[in-house]
Amino acid sequence: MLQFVIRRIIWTIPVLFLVTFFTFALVRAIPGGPFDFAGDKSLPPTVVKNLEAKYHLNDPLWQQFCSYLIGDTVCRPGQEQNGVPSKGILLGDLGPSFRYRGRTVNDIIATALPISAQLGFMAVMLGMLIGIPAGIIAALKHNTPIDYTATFVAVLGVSISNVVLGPFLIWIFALKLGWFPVATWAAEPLFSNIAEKYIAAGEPIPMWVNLIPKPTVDFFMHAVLPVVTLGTALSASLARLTRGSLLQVIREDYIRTARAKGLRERAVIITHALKNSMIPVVTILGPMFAGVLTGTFVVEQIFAIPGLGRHFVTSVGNRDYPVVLGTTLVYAVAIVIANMFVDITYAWLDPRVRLE
Amino acid sequence: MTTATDTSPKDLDLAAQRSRSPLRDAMSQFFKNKVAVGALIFIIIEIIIAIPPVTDAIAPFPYDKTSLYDNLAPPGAPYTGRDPEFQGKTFLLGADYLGRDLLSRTLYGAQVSLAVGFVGATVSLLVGTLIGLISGYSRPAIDNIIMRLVDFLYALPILVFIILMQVYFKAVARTESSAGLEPFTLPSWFGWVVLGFFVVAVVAGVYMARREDGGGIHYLFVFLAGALVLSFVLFIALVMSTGRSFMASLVEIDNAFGGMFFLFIALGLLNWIGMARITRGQVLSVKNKEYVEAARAIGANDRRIIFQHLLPNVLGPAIIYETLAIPGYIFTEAFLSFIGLGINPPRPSWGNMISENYQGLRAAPWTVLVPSLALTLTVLAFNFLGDGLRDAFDPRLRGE
Repeated sequence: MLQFVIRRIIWTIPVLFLVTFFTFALVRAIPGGPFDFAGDKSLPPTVVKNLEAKYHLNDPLWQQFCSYLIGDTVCRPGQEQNGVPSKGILLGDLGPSFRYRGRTVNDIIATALPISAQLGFMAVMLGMLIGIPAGIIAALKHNTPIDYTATFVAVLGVSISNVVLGPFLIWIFALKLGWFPVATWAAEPLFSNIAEKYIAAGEPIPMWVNLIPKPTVDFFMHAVLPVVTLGTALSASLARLTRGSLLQVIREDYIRTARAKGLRERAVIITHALKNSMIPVVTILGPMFAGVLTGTFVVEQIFAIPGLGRHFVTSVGNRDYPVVLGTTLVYAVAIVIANMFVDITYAWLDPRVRLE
Repeated sequence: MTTATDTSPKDLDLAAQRSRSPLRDAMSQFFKNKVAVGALIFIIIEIIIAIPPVTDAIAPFPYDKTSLYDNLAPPGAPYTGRDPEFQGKTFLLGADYLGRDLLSRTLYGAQVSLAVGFVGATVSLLVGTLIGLISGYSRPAIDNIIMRLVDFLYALPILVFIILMQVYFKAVARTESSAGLEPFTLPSWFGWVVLGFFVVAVVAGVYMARREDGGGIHYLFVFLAGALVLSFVLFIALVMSTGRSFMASLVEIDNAFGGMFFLFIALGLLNWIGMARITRGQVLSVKNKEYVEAARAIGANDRRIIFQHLLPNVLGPAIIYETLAIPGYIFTEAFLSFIGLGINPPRPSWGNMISENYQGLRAAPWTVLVPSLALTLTVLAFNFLGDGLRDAFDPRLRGE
C-alpha cells in the first residue's frame, strides 16, 4: 500500500510539469500581448517596449519558461537585477500580474482561491449529504413510488444547467422573495486578529488565514444560492450513481450468502452492500471534483463572486500570462491531488487494484 | 387452450427463441420504456426542426431581425415595426432587448446545441474508439504509452484548456480574417457531394451489414465515419485551393459554422479519454475469448478480428456512453457562450441568449425563461434516452 501511494505521488511530477509546459505554450501562442490596448487606451510603442523589457517578454521563450520554472539565478545568470525578478514556481513564486498593478499572482491566489474553495467545499458537502443518502434510499425501496420520485428528481437535477439554475434562483429567491442577497461573497477570516496584524503591517494576508470563514449569518446568507446552484447537479448525479451501484451490488451472490448466514438486514446492507457499492461512487469523485471546479467558473460569473474562476476568465482575455498560468496550475494541482486521493481510496476499498 | 395440442408447442418455443437476437431483445425492451421513446421522438422532432432549410421555413423571423419598437415585447405581442415584410406577425414567445423574436432565436439555437452535442459525441466516439482499439489490441509497450497519455489528459483541468483553446482560436480567427482575401463562399455543389458521400456510406454500410458471412450493424458506423472524414477533407481542400493557408481555411470553416467549428475541435480533442478507456477495457476483456482465438485459428487476420469480433462488442457500450455524454457537450457550449467564448453573435445559442438577457430577468423574465426551458428540455430528453438505451442494452442492469 505504501509503495502504491509513493508511486502515485511520484507520477504527479511529470503531469504537473507537462501541464505547465502546455499552458505556457498555448498562452504564448495566442495572438496579442498583455499590453495591447485598443483605441484610446493604447500605449505609445516605447512604453510597451519598456514594459516588455521589464517583464522579460523579449527574451527567448525557452529562457522565459526556464526562469518561470526554476528562477533567474539559474536561467538568467548575471541579470537577476534587471526588471522584475523571478524565483521560479519551484520556490513558490508565481510571478507578477501584468494587469493588477503591484499585485503578485501569489497575492491574487491567496485571496481568490479560499473563496472558490469555500464555495466548492460547501457544494460538495451538499451534494454528498443529499445525493448519497437519496441514492441509498431509492435503491433500498427499488420500484416503489419513493424510488420513482427520487429517480425523476435526480434526472431533473442533472438536466438543469448552472447557467439556467443560477439566474432563476436569483430571480425567485433574491429578487421576488428577497430572502437572500443577489450576489457577491461575504467571507471574513475566522482568525480576524491574525488578519488584522497583517493588514496593520501592510502585508498581504496569507492564504490559510483567508481559508476558514467566520460562520456569520451574513456569510451563509450569501452562500446559500451559489452553493445550491452548484450542489444541485452534484447531488443529483451522486444519487443516480449510488442507486445504480447499490442495486447492482444487492444482486451479488455474497449478499445472498450474507442473508443466508442469517445476518440482520442492517448488517447486510451496511457492512456488505454499502462498502462495495461505494467503489464506483469513489471513482467518479475525481471527475466530479473537476466538474466542481468547472462549476465554480459559471457560478462565480453569475453571482459576481471574486473567486479564482473569474480571475482566470478575465486574465485570459487580458493576456495576463502569469495569472493564467498560475490559476491553471492551481486547478491542475487540485485535480491531481483529488485524483490521487481517489486512487488511494479506491485501492483501499478494492484491494485488487493494488496488485496492478 | 383447446387447440394448443394441435400446433406443437415445442416448435413455437423454438421460433420464439430464434427471434430473440440480443439486438432485437434490447430493442423491444427499449420500446417498452415509454419515457425513453417519448424522449427519442422529442429529439427526432428537434433534429428535423434544426435542419437549416426547415428552420428557415418555420421560424417567423430571421434570428438577427431587430425591431427597436418591440424591445422586450411580452409573449403574444404583435409586431409594431415598420418593415412591411413582417406586418401582422406576432412575437409568440416575446422578444428580447433588441426586439428579436425569441421563438425564432430559440429555434435557431437548437441548431447550435444539437450540432455541438452530436458532433462532440461523434468526434469523441471516433477518436476514443480508435485509440482504445489500438491501445487494447497492440503490444503492451504501445498500450502503456497510450494509457500514460490518457492518464495525463485525465489530470488536465479540461474546461480550463477548452477556454484557452477557444481564446486562441478566436484570436486567430480575428487576425486571419483581416488578411484581405475575397470572402469565401462554398460552391453550391458541395452540399450535394457531401449528401452523396453519406448516401453511398449508408448503402454500402447496409449492404455490408446484411452480408451472409458475418456482417453487422457496426459496418454502417464505420462507413458513416469515413463519409464524415471525407467531407471534411474535401472542405479543407476547397478552401485551401483559393490560396488560403491551412489555419485560414480552418477559420473559414469556422465562419461557415458560425463559430461552432473550433468549439467542435476544442471539445473533441479533449473529451475522448473516457471513451478510449471504455473501449480499451472492452477490447482487453474480449480479445482473449475463445471465439476470437477460434477466429485466429482458422486464419483470420487482424483487420477481420478487429472489425468482425472486437468492434461489435465495443460499439454498443460506446454509443450508450456517448448518448449520456451529449448533455455535457451541450452544457459546455452553453457555458462558453455564456462567457462570450462560444458562438459568434448575432447567431443565437441558448447559452448566449441566457447571458444576454439574464441581467434583465426582473423586467422581462420570458427572455431568459424561453431559452432556459429549451436547454433543460433538450438535455432532459437526452438523459432519458441515454438511460433508456443503457437499461435496454446493458443486460446486467436489466435484472429480473
